[in-house]
Amino acid sequence: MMERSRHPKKEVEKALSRAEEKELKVEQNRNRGHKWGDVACQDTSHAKKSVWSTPKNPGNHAKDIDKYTDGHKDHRDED
Amino acid sequence: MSYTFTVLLDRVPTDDEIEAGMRTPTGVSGIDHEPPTATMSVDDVSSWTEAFAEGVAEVQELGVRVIGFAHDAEDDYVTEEELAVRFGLSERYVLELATDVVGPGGFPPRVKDDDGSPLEYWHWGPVREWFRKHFGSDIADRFDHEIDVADQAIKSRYRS
Repeated sequence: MMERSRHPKKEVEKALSRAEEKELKVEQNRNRGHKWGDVACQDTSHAKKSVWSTPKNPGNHAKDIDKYTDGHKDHRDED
Repeated sequence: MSYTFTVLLDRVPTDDEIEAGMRTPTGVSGIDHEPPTATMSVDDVSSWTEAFAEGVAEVQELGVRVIGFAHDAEDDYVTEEELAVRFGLSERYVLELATDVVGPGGFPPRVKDDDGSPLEYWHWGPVREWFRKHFGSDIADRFDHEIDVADQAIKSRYRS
């Protein structure tokens, strides 16, 4: 699997690293666009959290990712 | 100052709609699926009314419809900047209240990471209750009141 690059916004990158520390999966899109990628819960039945390339307020986008991480950090795929 | 709030959507936009309609940079801070919602951050405005109008216009460019405004949950995260905007105070004053430099003390603690280190957020519910106790309901409830007014306005628009 291709390794992801750092997110250009440092607040968002910090939130993505925190998600990875909690064993959530950070997936980067190969095609560059508005959507940089996703944060995915280990329980694949749960919706992913979209990560944007250019959030107007990176701190608020990071907060949204952190909230997703905290809500999904203890979930495990039952399959 | 950034005005942040959550709108209820008729559905979640697809990735194709996001690629076609999203602004650069985007004021969409996050999209959730259950229920379909978008959290918006609107800068460079001076009132909630302007922020709501701008946020609704931006998210509807994705091809979805805003069907209401949602209150923040008790355990939703809020930043110092958001607290300042929601309570009509300066960010510096909020920080001084939160660190007991001024005010009655006992400000709720920040959200903690698993290792006990504080994150940059507070939970909305406890902070709002602290403001209710020490500053009164007019200040504590002003954000929820703005959300109620906007929610009624958008619902009445679709009824008429």
